[in-house]
Amino acid sequence: MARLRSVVVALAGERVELRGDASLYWPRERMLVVADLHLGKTESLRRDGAALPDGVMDHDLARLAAAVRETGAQRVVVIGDLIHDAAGLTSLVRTRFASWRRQLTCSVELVPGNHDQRVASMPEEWGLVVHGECLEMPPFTLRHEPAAVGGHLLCGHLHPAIRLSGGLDGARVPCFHLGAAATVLPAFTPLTGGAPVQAAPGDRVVPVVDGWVFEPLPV
Amino acid sequence: MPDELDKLRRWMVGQGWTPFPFQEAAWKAHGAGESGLIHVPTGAGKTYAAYMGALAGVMAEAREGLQILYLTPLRALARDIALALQRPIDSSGMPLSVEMRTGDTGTAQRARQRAQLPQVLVTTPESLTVMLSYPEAQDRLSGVKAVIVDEWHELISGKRGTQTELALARLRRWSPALQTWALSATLRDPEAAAQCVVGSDRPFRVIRGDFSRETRLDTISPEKVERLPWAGRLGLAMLPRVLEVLEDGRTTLLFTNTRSQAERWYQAMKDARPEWEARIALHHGSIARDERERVEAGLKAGAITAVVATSSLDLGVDFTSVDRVMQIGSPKGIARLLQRAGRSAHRPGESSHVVCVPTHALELVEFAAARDALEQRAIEARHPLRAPLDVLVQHLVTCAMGGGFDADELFAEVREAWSYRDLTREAFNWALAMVEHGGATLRAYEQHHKVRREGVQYVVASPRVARLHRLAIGTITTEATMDIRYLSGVRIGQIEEDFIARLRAGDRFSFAGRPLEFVRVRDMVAYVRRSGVRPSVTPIWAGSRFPMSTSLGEAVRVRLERWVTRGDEGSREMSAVSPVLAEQQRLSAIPMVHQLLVEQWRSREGHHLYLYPFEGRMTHQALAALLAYRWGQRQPGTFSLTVNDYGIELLGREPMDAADLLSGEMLSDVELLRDVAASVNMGELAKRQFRDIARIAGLVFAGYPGAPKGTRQVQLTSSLVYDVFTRYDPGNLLVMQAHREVLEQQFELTRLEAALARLRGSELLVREIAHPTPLAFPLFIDRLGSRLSTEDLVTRVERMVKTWRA
Repeated sequence: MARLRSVVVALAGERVELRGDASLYWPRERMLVVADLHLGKTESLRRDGAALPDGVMDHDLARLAAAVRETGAQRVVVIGDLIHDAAGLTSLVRTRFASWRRQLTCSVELVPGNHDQRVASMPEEWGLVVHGECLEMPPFTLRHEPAAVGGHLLCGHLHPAIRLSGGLDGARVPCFHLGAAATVLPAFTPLTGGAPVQAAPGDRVVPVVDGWVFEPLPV
Repeated sequence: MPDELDKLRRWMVGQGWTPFPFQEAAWKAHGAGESGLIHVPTGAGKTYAAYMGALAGVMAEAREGLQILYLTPLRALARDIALALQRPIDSSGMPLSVEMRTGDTGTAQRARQRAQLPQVLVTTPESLTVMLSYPEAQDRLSGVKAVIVDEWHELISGKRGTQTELALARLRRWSPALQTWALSATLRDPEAAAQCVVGSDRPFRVIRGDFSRETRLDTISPEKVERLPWAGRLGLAMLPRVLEVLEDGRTTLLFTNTRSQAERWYQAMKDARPEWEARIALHHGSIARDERERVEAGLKAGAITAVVATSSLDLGVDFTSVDRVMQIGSPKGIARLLQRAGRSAHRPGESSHVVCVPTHALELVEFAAARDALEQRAIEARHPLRAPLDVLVQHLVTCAMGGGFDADELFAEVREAWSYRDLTREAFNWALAMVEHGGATLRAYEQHHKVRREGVQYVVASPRVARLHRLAIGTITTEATMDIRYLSGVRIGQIEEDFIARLRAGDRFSFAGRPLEFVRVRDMVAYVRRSGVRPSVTPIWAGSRFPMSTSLGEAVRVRLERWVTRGDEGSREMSAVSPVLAEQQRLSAIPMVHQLLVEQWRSREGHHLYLYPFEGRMTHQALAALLAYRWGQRQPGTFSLTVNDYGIELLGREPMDAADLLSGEMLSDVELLRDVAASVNMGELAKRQFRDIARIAGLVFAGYPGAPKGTRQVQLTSSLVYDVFTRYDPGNLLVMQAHREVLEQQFELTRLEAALARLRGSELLVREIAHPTPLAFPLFIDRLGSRLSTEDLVTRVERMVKTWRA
């Protein structure tokens, strides 16, 4: 099983692409779904005294723009935690995102996550379409946190990761977690920890490593 | 002053104590204005030796303000020390006061102490540094006449020692006549330790106790040697023999090397003798403080007669009631063994006695070797660190807060601290640039500008920086731990998060000697309930494993050679372990002192290569990573590395030629720093270490009191810092400095250099083996899963998913 730039899977009867940049692309709706960007996390951690250099946000936004370009998506839906917190929403972060947004012709939409609720509202100049807690796109329900919902759930929040091992080697890597009722996306930004996948029988994972994905593995 | 000293002497005699000649010598030296080191065994009366001379001076002057600072490494000891320092004052009826100031001191008292300090203050290196950070520091502290540094041997070779040196240099600048006396037991080179505490180029005196105390070492040897498993694991097999010894009810400290071992032995003792439950106890650093205090009080009162302990009881608390000391498992080092044995004899002149209990057959060799080393007084040398820059970075901010500094003056002052005597102006300027504008990457971010220039003075950049810095002062590094509590909220102690992270609800484990069931984690607290069922796992604390020392390793190598050339020489330990050594010799070989034994074995897993430098596990870890890295430069691959105190296992998919792998080039010290740094980097070990470095240097902030960030969170943040730096700013000096620190601290780089030199000169003794030998077996079964790869992650994942089985 070799590395792939993206892998096509059927979720609730729909063909979707799971991509090496940690996004999910739904061709029928020309919709690109990502979770957990945590914009401004660098700035927020700096405020707490962490001596972080720049680079993460620009790198993440560039990857997202590339994903839009490559897929030809007309909608980008961030299923939560677009931003990290109010402290991280510095003027620099606001202007960078706004100018990034202006270069895109597609709509940029947000299904807010717990971190997004740390501010009263998103900056207007970002031109976001902000949805409620759930975005129904049959057969899918898009939401930030896992919950029992009507459709097949696409969510983020958990930053799933899987511990792989084989022979002498082992490593923990982010992954898509494919369950019967829900698919959990990996965090789009690398600036997060990961939580081990809590798998049910029959679940599968798609590891995401440095821009590559692999065929679904049973867990 | 002689009058005051006479009074104090009379008071001591009244207490039934005749001053020892070394105490008289210390008082005399103090009276003559000298500084230095008092080097006598534990419990011999060091405290009063250093204190009375200084106190006599204070009594003679009878003025307000702080005059004697007493530094102790353990804040738990501060109370006992303060009481001991108060006693002679009480008898004199003079209005002098003794107070404590440690991390446990309440806000109200601290605020009062900022306004008015007592004449005598018992404190820790960290609290002293905090005092240096107040703007009025110089006013408050320039009246100090004497600093007494207790248990200097515990501090000298770590960053806390460096921090102490810097603080002393500062005090000396304010009070040039300051006298410094360090108290220490069991040092190989007391002169060097004395020089270090009095500062570069200053005269010093070493006062020695004139009684040499004998240390007797006995071993409980397995009775039936033939029933020893040849691989050597004894586990709890010796428990019945230990219980027999404890039957007499004499007060016994049982020292173990790890907390998990302490837990297991305590549990097993309770199971075997339920009727002893009330009089046996457990003591280790993860147990809640009040519980530990209860155990210590019970021990003093005689209600508790056996305590299973880790190094948490190595130091301090004066247990005159302890009759006997037992060491379970390897003593690891000679100084440590002496220190522990010393707990059994708290009166000068008494001989001390330690009974060693093997947990592994080969430890019998260590006991015999330890006895040899004790006889030859081959104690480990303790070297001060060489100019650790993270501590300096922290100190610069502290000084900027404490009234500001002139760069030239501070540079001169810092070089008066022994560890920084060779500090270059370049390195100093680098550290200064880092706190002034955060180095190159962070120049643009004001929150990382910690000091700023006002004329020639450097002062702290803002009150916010000062507030955060004061909270972060210190160099004590902690494992990522969380509170462990019952569902009712009652706190049991601290447990490692890595351990908790592996548990699922309902898992049972043993902690603080109690069988517990894990319920959940919430808000950085692990909640548990009591379990009626025997636990399935014992927590492992990563921080509590000491490597075997060079002195002991040498003594072991000598003992092994002597066994080959001269037999067991009547030693009970060597005679007991003979069947195991004979098996080693039959299957492979026993190396002579000048040889390096290498065993090669082909298994289904791959190609195993075992080598036995006997340099302790930290050095082995670095050596293993270095060899795997250098080998991988020729031929990319992934190795599994396992180390213990005796040796290393390298496991790879391709065969490795021993002579090639251990060639002069592979063991070279050329580009050693670069190669070890590269191997550490890839081995993902640096990340963990970076947490401490980042915190000390102020790269991450550990949290406010009352709302502390979990260590886990600090760890997460610092590992992000590390990732981001290596990815977006690989040349950053912070990372490079961190690497140096990692290498020295984690891998004992100095020791590694010495080990490489020795190994280059060793004769290779290569053996093909058909099974793991007694030396190899522990490595074979202890596979740590530490690995080092020179392939990129995607390639590795690609291979792993090919063979993936859920």
